Amino acid sequence: MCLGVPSKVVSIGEGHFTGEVDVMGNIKRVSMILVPGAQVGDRVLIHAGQAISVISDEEADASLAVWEELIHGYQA
Amino acid sequence: MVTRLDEKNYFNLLADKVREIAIRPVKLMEVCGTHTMAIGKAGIRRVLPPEVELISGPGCPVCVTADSDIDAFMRLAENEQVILATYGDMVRVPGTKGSLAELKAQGADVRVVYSALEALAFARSEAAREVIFLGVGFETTAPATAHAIKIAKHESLSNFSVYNLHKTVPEPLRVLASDKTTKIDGFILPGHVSVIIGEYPYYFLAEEFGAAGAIAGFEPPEIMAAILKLVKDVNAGVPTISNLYRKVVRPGGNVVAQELLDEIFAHTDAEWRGLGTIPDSGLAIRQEYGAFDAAKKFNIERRSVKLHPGCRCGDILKGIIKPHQCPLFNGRCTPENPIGPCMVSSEGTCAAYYLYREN
Ligand code: SF4
Repeated sequence: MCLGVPSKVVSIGEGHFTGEVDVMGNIKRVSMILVPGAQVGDRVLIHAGQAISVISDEEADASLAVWEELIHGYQA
Repeated sequence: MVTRLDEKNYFNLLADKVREIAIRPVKLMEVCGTHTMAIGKAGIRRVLPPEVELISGPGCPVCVTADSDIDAFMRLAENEQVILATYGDMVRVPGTKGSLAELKAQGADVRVVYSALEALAFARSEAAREVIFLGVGFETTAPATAHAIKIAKHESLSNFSVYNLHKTVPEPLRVLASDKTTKIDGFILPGHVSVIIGEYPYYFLAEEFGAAGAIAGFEPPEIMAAILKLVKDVNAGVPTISNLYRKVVRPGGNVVAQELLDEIFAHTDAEWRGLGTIPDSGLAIRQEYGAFDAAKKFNIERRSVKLHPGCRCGDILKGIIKPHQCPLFNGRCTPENPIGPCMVSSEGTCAAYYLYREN
């Protein structure tokens, strides 16, 4: 029950209550009420039938810099 | 884009660094059952130096469900008028008279759903019967339950209710951090719970208990990065709470979800397997939504029962023993024939250790 699944928003219904997301090729209807800022094309994290977060691609890419810093940073 | 190759490279580099800098024993707890599974699958314990010990925590909702609650929802399921809707993991949990799966085989109407919102659909289409949703899980699944209750009230659905067992994560962490017998230096904090609650609710770990914390994602390098960060913090003697899962976790969490939880639920004391009653660690359905509280509606009393004599699940959830130290592990207790909830759940510590042959 705790697995979060990343997926892409394909459509958002009127009032932003529900939307359709593409989970590895399967289209599913999920609740969108917790991600009022989500737009079609965004990647979102789905949990128990609800989108709970918009995945930030910038932050995902920034992970590499964080890992670099952890590996090579001077603090031991 | 972070490619699979990057991930593999970085996993190795991060692990090398952990081995390089581990100079004294460090005890870390992965709080979340999904992390326990991911750690087993990636073989992380095998590549860590002997100084770094990873213990598994209480972050598996099925595992921490108290015997008295299991007993109570089994009684609800026996009622012929009732359709009991729940997450897949709950149906195999052994109760006094077998599991929900066994009750179903005997004719009880038990249905597996992915979300509380699906259970609402049953209530709409089968108006003559009572649909009870088993609300289990932490801050990640609780918003869906809250949303279902809100819709049920809006639609005046009089045949929908929730047997509510939702719990919250920071409170048991306080119990574990203050336990002097298992002194934990750092916590790998649950990624998806943190999506909802954000970073701030963990600050007390560092401020009051001197324990470090790192919010982590679920890919191998993400977990290894958290381990490295925690070992660095411990070495430096400066415990901090860091967020290494920024792609989905905002510092303040998901405010809409927090408001929804607050609208439907109030904090209450809750009983946890192994940890006992923890103040304010449960979410109770507020008075205004009391009509949707199955425990009230059906006058369900929780009585104290002990379901699995011999099962050491409670000690495992506190990090006191490892699964192989339970005499029943991999003998009488296996995923096919689970004795206790830690072996049932796909996030359970015993199941993870069994599946990935960990010691
Ligand atoms: S191995 Fe089985 S009986 Fe032993 S603690 Fe784990 S769940 Fe309980």
